[in-house]
Amino acid sequence: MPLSIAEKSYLYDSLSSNAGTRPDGRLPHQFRPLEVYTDFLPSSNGSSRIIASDSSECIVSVKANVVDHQVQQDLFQVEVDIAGQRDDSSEVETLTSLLNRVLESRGSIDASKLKLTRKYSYKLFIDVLVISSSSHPVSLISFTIFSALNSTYLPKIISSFDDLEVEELPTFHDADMVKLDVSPPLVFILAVVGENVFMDAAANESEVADNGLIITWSGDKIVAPIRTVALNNSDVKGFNPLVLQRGIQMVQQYAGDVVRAFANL
Amino acid sequence: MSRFEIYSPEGLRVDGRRWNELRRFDCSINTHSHAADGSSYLEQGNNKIITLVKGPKEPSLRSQMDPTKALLKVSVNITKFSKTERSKTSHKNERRVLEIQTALTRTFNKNVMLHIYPRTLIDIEIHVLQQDGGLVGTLINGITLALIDAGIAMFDYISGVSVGLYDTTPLLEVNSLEENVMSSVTLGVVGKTEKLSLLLVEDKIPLDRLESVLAIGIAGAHRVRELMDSELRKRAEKRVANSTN
Repeated sequence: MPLSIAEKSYLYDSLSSNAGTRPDGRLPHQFRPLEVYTDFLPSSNGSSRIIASDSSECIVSVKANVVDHQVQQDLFQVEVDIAGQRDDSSEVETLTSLLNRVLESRGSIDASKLKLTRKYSYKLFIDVLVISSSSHPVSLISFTIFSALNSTYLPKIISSFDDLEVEELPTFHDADMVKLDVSPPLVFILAVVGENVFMDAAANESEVADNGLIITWSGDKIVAPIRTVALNNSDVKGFNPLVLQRGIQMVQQYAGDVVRAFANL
Repeated sequence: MSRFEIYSPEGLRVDGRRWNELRRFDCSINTHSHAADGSSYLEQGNNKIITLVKGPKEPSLRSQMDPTKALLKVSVNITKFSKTERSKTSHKNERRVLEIQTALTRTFNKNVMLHIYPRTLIDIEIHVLQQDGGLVGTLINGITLALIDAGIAMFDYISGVSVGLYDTTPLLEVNSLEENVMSSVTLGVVGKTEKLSLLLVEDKIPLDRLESVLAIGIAGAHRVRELMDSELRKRAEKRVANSTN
């Protein structure tokens, strides 16, 4: 819902004040409650559905395939579908490329966990469906991918690891599954208002934000990509570079808590 | 042919049902109360679909406005991960999906009282999270539930069900294994009547067997209607109880 000029000015002043008062009274690093459901699609290896309290909703399915890793180097493939948007719209394409970059095999994620034999690996197809979103969905998508990968079970291999000498295809156990143990990166989005940064900006906060920061967290450190993103198309301004540092510090301080919260599901 | 025994001499099907048994049916409405005006989540066997109804609302395009009645738009999004084997291409502009959308629009055009919502658009959006045969029947049920949740005036329930014909035996509600080896039809039945608002025949089927197929289909659709009705009444009772407290 578009805000009036007076509402915008009021919101901007309260968010950019020294105290950084948010309209719903949250602390700058505080998230709104999330509902997470995992493993609800029996035909996928892993699945997750997150519903945010503003009813933004994202569904992720993880399906695995066996590929020759000498031919296909990228073992993660993310595809994003946003309801009501074409597949070739700029928002969908930017999100897809960003998330593929986050989950790059050469990047921060440990792709060796997907290695089956000396020749074959699992390739994971991560399909994202955003049913509704009221603010920038990248953080929601990233959390959903994180919980989907953490609930992924892959068939257990029973043939030998070394298959270069004997040409054989990997064979799998009929029933046993092994839990996938990768620690996927998380993407945080921060709204910049004046000198303040805010995590998990609501729709009205995004509307007045000067800019947005995309910061990626993997394991226990900040990793690439770090980007800025426009959260609205009317009030985008530049920001003090010190704000970036502040944003990075905030992610460093609180990302561990988010990871632990998801790990305890 | 298939490795499975589709219909055993003892009268059991691959998933253990008998010829006249429905699959597990689990539905809920008002699941996305903020994102849409009406919504439903439906599990019919291993079919899982989310239906969102947005409207009646002002259409964004002038061409979508009819001064005498509302315009009904159905879009079916079959996700790439909906089948066991992931599909590489998006199903968005596939011929079969477009045909399903047209069939659903025509079915509900006759059932929704469009004339009382002139100059508006009713946008129905369906996401298929998982499919396992008899998809069109499930889509019909999902739309019926979501339209009721949205409070849009309709003449009656439309309940959908698919029926296969194995040799001479009609099998109620085929799953994907059965759908692949036999011809099947999909029915949309109006309320408690024996009127059909949709008969979708995508395969060849002997005309002299059609009667028994339709008979079990209508009986199955009536049962589906009862299941939807009981869920809706349960829901309504809860709402009434909440509002009086």
